[in-house]
Amino acid sequence: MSSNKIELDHKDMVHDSAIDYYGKSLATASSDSTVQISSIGGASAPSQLLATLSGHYGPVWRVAWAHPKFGSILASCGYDGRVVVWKEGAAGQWSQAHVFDNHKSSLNSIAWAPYELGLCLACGSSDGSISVMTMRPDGGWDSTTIEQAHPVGVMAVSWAPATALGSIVGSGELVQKLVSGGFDCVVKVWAFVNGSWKLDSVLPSDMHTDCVRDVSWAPVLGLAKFTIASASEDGKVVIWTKGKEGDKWEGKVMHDFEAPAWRVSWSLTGNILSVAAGSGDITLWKEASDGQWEKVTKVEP
Amino acid sequence: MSSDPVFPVLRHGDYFTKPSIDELVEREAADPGYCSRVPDFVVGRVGYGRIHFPGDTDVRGMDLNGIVKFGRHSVEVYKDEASKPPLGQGLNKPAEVTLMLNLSVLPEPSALGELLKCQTRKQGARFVSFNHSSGRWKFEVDHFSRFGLVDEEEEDVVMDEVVVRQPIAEVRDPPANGHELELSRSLPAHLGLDPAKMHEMRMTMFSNEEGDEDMEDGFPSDQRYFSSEKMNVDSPNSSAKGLRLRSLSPLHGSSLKVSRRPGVIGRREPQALLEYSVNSSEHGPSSHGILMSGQNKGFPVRMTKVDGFKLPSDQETPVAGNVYSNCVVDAALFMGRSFRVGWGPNGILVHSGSLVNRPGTGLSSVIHIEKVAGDKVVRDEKNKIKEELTDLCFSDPLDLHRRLHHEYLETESDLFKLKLQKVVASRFVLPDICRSYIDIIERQLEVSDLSMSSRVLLMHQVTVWELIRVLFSERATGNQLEPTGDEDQEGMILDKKEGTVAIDLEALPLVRRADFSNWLQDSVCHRVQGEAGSLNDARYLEHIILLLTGRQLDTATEVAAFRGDVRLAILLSQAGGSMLNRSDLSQQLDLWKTNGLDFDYIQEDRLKIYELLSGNVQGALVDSSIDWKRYLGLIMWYQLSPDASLDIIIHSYHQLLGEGKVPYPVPVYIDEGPLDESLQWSPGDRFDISFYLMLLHANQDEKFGMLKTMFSAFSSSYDPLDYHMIWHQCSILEAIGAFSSNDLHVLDLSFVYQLLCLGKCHWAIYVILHMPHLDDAPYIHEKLIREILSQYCESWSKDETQRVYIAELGIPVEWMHDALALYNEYYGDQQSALENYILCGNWKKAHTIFMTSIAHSLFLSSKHQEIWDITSSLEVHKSEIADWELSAGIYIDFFILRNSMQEKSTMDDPDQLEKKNESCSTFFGRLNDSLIVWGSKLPVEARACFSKMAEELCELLMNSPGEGLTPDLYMGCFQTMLNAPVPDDHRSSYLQEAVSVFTDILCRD
Repeated sequence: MSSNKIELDHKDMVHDSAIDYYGKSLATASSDSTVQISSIGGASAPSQLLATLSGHYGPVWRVAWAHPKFGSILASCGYDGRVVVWKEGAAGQWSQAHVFDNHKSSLNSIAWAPYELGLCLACGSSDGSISVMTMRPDGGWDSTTIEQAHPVGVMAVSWAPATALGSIVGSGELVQKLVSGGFDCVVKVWAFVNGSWKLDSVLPSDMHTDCVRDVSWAPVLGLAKFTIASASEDGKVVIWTKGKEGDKWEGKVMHDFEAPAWRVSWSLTGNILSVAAGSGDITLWKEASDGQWEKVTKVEP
Repeated sequence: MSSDPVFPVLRHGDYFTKPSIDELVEREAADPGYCSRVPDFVVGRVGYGRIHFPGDTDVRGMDLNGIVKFGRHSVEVYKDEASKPPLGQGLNKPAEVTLMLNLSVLPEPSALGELLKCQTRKQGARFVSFNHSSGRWKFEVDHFSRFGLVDEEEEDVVMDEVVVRQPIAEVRDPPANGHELELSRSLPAHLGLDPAKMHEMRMTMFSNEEGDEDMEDGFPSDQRYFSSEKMNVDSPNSSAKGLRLRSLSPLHGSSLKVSRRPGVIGRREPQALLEYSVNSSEHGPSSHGILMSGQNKGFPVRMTKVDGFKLPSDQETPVAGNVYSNCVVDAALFMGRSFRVGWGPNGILVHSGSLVNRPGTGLSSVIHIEKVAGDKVVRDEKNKIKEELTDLCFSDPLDLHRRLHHEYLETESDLFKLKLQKVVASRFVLPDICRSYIDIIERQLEVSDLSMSSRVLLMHQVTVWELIRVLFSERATGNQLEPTGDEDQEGMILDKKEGTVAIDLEALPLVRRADFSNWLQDSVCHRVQGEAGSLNDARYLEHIILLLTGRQLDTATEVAAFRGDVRLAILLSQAGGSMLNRSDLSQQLDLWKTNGLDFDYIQEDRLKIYELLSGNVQGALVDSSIDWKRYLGLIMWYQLSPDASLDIIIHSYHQLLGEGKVPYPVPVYIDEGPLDESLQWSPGDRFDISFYLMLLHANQDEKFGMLKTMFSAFSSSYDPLDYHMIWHQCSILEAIGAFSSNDLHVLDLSFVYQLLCLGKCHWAIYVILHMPHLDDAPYIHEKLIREILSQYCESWSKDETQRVYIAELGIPVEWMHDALALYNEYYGDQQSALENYILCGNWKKAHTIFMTSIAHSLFLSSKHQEIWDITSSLEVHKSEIADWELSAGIYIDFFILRNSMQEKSTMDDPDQLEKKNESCSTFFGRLNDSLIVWGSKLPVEARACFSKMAEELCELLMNSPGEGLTPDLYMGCFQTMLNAPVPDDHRSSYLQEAVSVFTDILCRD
């Protein structure tokens, strides 16, 4: 990779960037109300702007690629309270497959569910509710809502991995859980039970003393426990772990950045956590031994 | 006089017009309306150039300085898109441009002419002339916008869109003096937010940045936006840019990029017209053209114009309404401070923040792509990847690992089975295993250009494998002796044999201790030699102490003898032997102290030697700094008894370590350096893996509580992401039964991650198969492997070696094809997707792709055999496919029906025709039903395909011999044909034929 920088055509701040499943396309969300899709070039081919999607009437906070099992699908959410599901048709033409505008406040976070659960999208809003939209086989969409998930506003949502630990009665049982963080300084886990979303557990609330900016559920690919990372305005990043079903969540402060911690995201194998904090600083962390996390500073030159 | 302005305005003195402003005033007075039709109007700048507008030009009320901008070697007209008039009006009309080029900063004038011609042509202008001596460059333009929506310009527009849509990727580092400005956004007024209050809120929330000037730019009001302070802020940037432009050498191939700020687009400096390059091959399409308006740069004309943060009036906003007054807008999102890192395969990071390890540069609209380095170990000292190192560090050790003896455990889930693997080895073969690993490491040491720190680590790995052999291997006992001779001799031999076995068993711990002692001497030998080299001959006692720390007794004795110190030589030759000797020496020292001997008359170094030989290690080395291995050796050789077992030795050191009396066993990269990077390390973090191995051995059969710490990467490497050797050590130790654990997933996964970053998917899967089976997570292996096959599909599918190897591991072939099918479908390769779906048994998916993407194109290309092959393989599983009869089954039945009609076409049998008619009627019904069922999923070509089927059958039906047929049957056939899904023109021809036949029938009667 000869180039490590892409000059986008965005005219304003870029809030989110996402690489698609195979690592070839990059989607960026910006305050200029657009989502741009670029190819990630290699040594022989430079990056190219493939499409500019205009459908939001305000800053776009997040973009998320769906699993390629459903085709080339991208979701975006923004300040205008809308979620747009984009679909790539023939010859690289993108169109709006669906638009959700049920929320009357800024939509701060979206997350696609694991592909085992179908094409399903969770959205967290500043009006305090979380919506979960599911596409039916006939192409329509169903929506369920968790009202007042966080009284002052939802900042982030993240899905649990679909494969369960512990209580397996059959090979087909799937986990359908969400974690959310909000302005009330609390991290909550929700479970879809008997056709509706229920509060599964409230993680100990004394770990964060300011609003929770982001939560991220680590992919359980080999590790025998659930792991959630949460980032807060108070500068702390907390790692929550739980062993089997029925155990309690335990939180441990991974690091105190002493500056707002904005976002956390896991690598695809779940062994490295990236943290965006302060005025644009990025650090990488990995678990060294039981419960201890160490900073990784090696990035390819 | 009319109140509308009549005269153009010219505010800058170095700009001029012809006629001049004064002349225009005079002529307007003499000839009212003259300014609306000024002939041959000229506007220019002294020393820069001029623009000549032939014909009549309407200059009334023009702010010429706002419209025309001359820069060095460039000119821009109507930079502000909003103020540009339609084509042909104002100054947006054909013109002749003359630019004065500064020849002193340009390349050779003789070559410049050709460059200018190319440059002019590329930007849509027509080259007229270039004067080499004066530097005057003339060209003609039709308008001052590249995006005029005139029909004749359509092709140009399309081409320009292609050109401008490609952002130039910056290869070079940004200039040191230039930092990326933080983007700011204007606060939309219609939101009803008070900018002052918003600013206060922001300062309250982020009080630590109160003095940051850039922060204030975040909320400029409309008045402040164009204030003089703003202009002053821009001035240094303009100067800096000018400096950069002037300092550019002709060899620079591209101009520097500056982050755009939406609010300051109107004041953007003109771009250099030329990119001066001697090498013409470096010329690429420029994203900045001659005379392009700034507003349009970088955006295709058809792109929706985004004015920034605006909400339509009918859109409800959280601030405008009263109902949602309790909702709090996320301040960080709103003020543009929050951003997220996106992850891709192979450890790729994308984000818009600062580079990792380079904090503080702030946010921008530049996206950084970084890669987490999991392959540090395969890079040389110049940080370039060495392919042979990849083989030696990963492939060769894993090949060796694979050849070891394995135990297999089959797991079954759903329809597939996996063979989990586990290495099993006896301690008797451990020496061979260690020797093999050492061979691989020694081959790595032969690679050129390795960095010094890499060499230190590799040497350390050799000692670690040796230590594993010393501590954990066992040797065969007792040689088989052939009994021969008479009874007496046989009895004698048996006695000898029994004695040998007994002796060996008793001696085994001592043999291991001796091996350990030798290992310890070898591993510290280089340090003793290194330190001895700095001593001169006058300090032979110090030299002897040094040799004693490495237990080089022979050499120490020789040094003493060489110096004529015979009695010391005798003492040294017996060092570390009998406890009695040590006791005697200790008593002698005590006696001297008791009797008040004045030690000033004995050299201090000699006293140290005596203390050491008496077993008082602490006393001998109170003021010496020594590494932990030598200190361990000193305790072993001089303090403890010669028959003390290894576990006693190790436990003694561990206990002293707890008391803080011995050096900390730090990892080798701290101990010996040097390091390429600085490390944050403090005592207590962890031990060196050698010490962990010793503790593991001394632990015997008790549960070892430090496995996780032992097998973290930091035990043997400063690279926290490098597990390439420690995974093998863990695997071998577990294989020989040194420990047993189900809790080292971090190690396995980290190694998998490292292998994936190198693109070694087959090895990653191999490692996964060695992860232990957990009752809590029985599907973890399948989940992991399928995810890797899917996400890294491109990587392994293009490498035949990896494909073969993955199959040999027993991974179901269906999984590989499933991953390939998904990949192909995602990238639009439907043909390959279909093949792979068939091979992995996903019949529904294969069928859907066949019907929607493949079948019709094959049929219309007359590739019937391929259709038959595909549908035949699908038909075996038609019970799993919905609507088979209305889907792929149609193709099978079509071929069957067509063949039967062709075969029997020579027979003159009314019953046959009747059967054909019924078959066709049924088939046409299915065609119509199929079109209804599939609906919009079928492309137009599929309908054409069905139409062609129907046509063929109708043709065959019509060509059947009809002699002697009853009229009813005849008309029945036509009725069938009219129901076929054929185009209307065919149906009308069938109708005419039917009418004709009917007429014949009527006439016949």
